[in-house]
Amino acid sequence: MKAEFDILDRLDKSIEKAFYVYNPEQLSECDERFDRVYFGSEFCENKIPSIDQLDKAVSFSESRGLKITFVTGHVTDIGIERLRKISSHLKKTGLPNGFEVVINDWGLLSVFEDCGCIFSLGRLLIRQKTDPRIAKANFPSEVLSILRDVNINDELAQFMKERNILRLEFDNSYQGIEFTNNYGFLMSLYLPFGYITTGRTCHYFYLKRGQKSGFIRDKLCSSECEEGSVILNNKNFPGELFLRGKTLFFKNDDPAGILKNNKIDRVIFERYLPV
Amino acid sequence: MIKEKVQLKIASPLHSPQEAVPLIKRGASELYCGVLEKNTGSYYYSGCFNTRAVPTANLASFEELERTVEEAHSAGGKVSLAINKFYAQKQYDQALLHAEKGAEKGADSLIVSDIALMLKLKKHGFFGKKFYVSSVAAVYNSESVDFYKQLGASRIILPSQITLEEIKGLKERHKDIEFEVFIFNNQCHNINGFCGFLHGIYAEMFLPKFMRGKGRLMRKSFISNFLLRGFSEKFKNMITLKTFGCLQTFELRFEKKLNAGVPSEGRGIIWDPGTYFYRCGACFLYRLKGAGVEFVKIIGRNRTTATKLNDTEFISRAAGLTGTVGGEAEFLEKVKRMRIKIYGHKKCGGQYCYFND
Repeated sequence: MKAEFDILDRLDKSIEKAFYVYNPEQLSECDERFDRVYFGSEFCENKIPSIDQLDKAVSFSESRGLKITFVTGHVTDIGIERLRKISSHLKKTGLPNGFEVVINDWGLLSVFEDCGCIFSLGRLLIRQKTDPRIAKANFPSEVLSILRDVNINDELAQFMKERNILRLEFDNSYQGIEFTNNYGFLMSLYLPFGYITTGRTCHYFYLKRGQKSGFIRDKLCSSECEEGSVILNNKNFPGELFLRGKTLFFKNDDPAGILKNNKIDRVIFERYLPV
Repeated sequence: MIKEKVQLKIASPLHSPQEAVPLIKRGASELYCGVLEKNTGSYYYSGCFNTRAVPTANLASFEELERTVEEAHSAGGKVSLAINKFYAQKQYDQALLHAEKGAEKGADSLIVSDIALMLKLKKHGFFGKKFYVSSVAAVYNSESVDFYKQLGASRIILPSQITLEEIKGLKERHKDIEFEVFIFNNQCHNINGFCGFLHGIYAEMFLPKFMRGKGRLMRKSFISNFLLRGFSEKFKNMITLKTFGCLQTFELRFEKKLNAGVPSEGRGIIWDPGTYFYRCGACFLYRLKGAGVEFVKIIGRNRTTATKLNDTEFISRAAGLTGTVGGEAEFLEKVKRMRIKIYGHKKCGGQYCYFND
């Protein structure tokens, strides 16, 4: 599933634009509109890039004068070991220009903190409510306000700043985002795909075989997610849903509300559904 | 026979003080529960501080919690209070108050998932109680275990989508902290802590307008709570199917056409609803005990008392077998026979197994 670039034309020029891929070969589509590359996998430890792939992405970014953000997901100990190797490699080679790491697993702070990099709190840890049915539901304002809010308080804000976590990453949820206090964190917005839910089973694997899904099949991966996605429709949802690998996404390409009400200074453009 | 260096203990769900003693008598060592006070909020999304935001899954007041604790302690059991949602900024003070009240009423431990609340509770010394990391926090690796140990956790409740090998690995590396593992009833395909679906949203979309909104849903829920307690598991399961976003029937279309002979379009439910209700890991109790796991968890706070008692007795008897049989083969034979005797042949094996993957 490909998103169209025209969504970027509607954005203010002052907003930093990042191009998000998990495979360095997809970087050929990253043109002069972008200031930064987001590179890595949020949802599957089988898709953690190799050191060679990371080097390719870094080299592409440096050759174009782009900054780079390395995206990580939730991981088991296998993923921890893969990412530890990447962290050691970065320590040896030195951090690229404007390097950041997106963390979606609290365990990864200790893996990358020796690199001296800046962290961004990923959308798996922000815990936004992203059920698209919220757009069709009739919640009272009291509840909507809670569904828009974010799970950060004074204690967590201090904890994150002490650990160099300076940015928060959001989906373009239908109900919007409403901070009581954003504690001075920088804010990014993923466009146009927002994640709804994820697991450890590649549903594509089962669907194309006409079988019921199992539970933990990430050990038997043969990169089915590379084949494409499944488009889902149900009248209770405001638009189509997209299933890629283990993760279900919605598409909302109208960021006007969130951009108006929040100090978003970066948009992460998802040309492809993330893995 | 496994040497009795670790006794496999059972954490059972509870929603009423009357269940405490019978559950402990059937073999539970610990009971876990939530409190949903009628006056904490006019609406269950904003008024509930645990992940099961329905009255049928919760104690109705802190007085009920106090009675539960008294009953449980008198029978030699302990009580954990679940405060395991992710909160909005404006809810943290209330969540803290909720924990404080729970501690005052004698809960032995607090089950928490939100790191912001953990940090707040840490400032207050967890009100002198033990702090368990909820499965909703989604701990899958050793570094995360270390992270939560540093925050003061004494137990990690592992998420249900975890393999036996991964559990063994975590236990080997972290002998100084307890682990609790899901063993019976629900298992979702999606990771609870990373799921943005709202389970209760159905009511907001389809109920007549006069039944929605401030104050009304709680009344409705209170009435439904009263009514549903008398209804069968089957009826409750039917409601669940209507409510969960992941269990809707979808029109499906593959982005790219599949090979000849395989349809690229269709209609169906992607996630298997049966697995929400019948998951079982009893056959793996032997290995879990061998791995040094301390606690196994039975799911289903909103199930009927009879179901909870039955489930607790089955898992307790199965766990007891691990210390008496001559080996795993004998254990498996006996535990399967026991299961069939209690639950019948249905819902056993393959797709209903917690650790089949």
